Amino acid sequence: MLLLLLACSGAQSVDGPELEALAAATPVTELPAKPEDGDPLISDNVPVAVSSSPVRDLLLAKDVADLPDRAALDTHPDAAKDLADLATVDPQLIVRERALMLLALYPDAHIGVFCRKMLEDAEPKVRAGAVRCLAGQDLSSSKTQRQAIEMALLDADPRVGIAAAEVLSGAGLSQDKLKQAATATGVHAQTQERITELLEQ
Amino acid sequence: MEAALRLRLLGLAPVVLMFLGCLGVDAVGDTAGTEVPNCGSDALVLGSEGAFTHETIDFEFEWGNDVGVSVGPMVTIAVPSDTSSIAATVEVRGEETGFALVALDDKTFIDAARPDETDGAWWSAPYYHWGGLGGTVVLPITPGTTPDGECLVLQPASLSDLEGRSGTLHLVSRRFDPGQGQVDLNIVIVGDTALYQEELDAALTRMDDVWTGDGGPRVGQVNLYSTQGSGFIRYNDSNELRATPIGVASGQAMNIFIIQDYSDEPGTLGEAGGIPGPVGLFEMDGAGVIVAVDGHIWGNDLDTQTMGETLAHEVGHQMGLFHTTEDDGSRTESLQDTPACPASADDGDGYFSAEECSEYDGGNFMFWVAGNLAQDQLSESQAMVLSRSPITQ
Repeated sequence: MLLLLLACSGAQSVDGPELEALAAATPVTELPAKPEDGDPLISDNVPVAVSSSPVRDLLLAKDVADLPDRAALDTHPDAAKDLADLATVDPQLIVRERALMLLALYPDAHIGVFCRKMLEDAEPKVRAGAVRCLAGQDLSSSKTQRQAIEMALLDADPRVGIAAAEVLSGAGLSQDKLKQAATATGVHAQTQERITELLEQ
Repeated sequence: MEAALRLRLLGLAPVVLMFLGCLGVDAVGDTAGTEVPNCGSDALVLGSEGAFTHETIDFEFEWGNDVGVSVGPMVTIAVPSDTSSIAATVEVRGEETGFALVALDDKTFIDAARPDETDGAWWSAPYYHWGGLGGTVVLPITPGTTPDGECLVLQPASLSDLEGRSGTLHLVSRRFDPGQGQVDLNIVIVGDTALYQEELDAALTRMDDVWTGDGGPRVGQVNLYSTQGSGFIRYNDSNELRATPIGVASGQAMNIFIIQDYSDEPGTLGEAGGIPGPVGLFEMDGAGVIVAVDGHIWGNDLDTQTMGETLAHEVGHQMGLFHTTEDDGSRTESLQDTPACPASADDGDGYFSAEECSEYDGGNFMFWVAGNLAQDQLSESQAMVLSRSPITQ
């Protein structure tokens, strides 16, 4: 399944016009009608292998602040494997993102490689989760992973770019790349805004 | 209580009545708590008979040494017997605000001068009150806080040192009983957020099903708005978003802002402006719920069932409902008839999942985590809090 997903994925991104000053809302009568469905990227069913995982249950917190910590995850055998499976195949986008975020709690070379590959996912939300997963790895000794995050700074989706900026800044790495991205063409305005904030700290 | 502190509301809202300068603050804080004044004959009379009313009072802060927060004057308010609900909000743009004192007759619900972890102290039962943007209290939040008294005393506060700065106390009240009632919604589609009419309709149908299944209010009229720009917002811009000019004719509705996603707050489904947040108000701090579309994507589609449950849940927070059980099994909810999940239900990881608590409150719409089961149960008191909200009509 993982290979299939990677084969289908690409560095797609969502165009993100810069955040403008919030103007007054204007009344609308109706939203657009939904077009016919395209082919789903992944199955709409939760794969049996992960549907019964107690780890999955914990990823459904209504408030992101309530996601489990490492101690809670450690009470479940194979929690890291479950998280990787969920990040790969779960049909709920937020489960995939949160699973990747929690994999940051596992400093492990294999998980680092896995998360770097997930940076190629078609879903920006998953790519953002993959960047945050890499925050838990030893980036100072892994040039490959560090470069992958630096590339993510340029992602047209602000969730990915901001995640990359926060991870690099948090690790004290790639200051030169951050400074370049702060003014580079094509970097999302919200990413540049966040980079500027981080550089000023 | 000094007579000068007793203000009379003069009309319908929003009416700025007068500016209070450098008022003294009475009897704030020994360890036994604040001495609560009585309403005199010249106390403010709340609201208008048979109507939803929004009234405002401007005041000035001074530093309250005894409570360690900035405080405004104590305001005494005569509560007519036909009052079914009250929401009070302290507005100082961009500052965390709240109440140093909330008392109804001889019942003190919030008193910042009380020792920590005693009833009525900040972050203690029944309100678990703390400062927030657009700090708000709602009566009732429990059966015991129903506004059946005669004299309400409020003292605005702020966690920041605002000595000499002005603030506004908003009083939103409803002096009629709508029964189960309905809640109208002001839904603002933010920027280029992708949401189709069928999806919104399905999500609101689910929200309505959740609320009405056990006797809560219906989802009423939906007023749609849109803004220009991006559907992605920075978390720090949430407050600015909630202050977006909507231009609604009446505040008697719940404001819901639908965004594509937070760009820097990963893993978020939605967020209320407080527990409770401002209700009956708009274009101000905390005044509305934000829900992220991308947090509800399932496969190639929007999971409108979950989005409807998120809407019901977050609006529940905004109207004053807490989680029935928190993630670690603790409780910050004061409703006696809402089931709680016992410690024995935990599988050992310290987190109480919906499945583990399915025999108790795992199916309640205010449970802390979603699950593989429908969460459409309300206790009688939860339904009461929703139906008695000032915005319910």
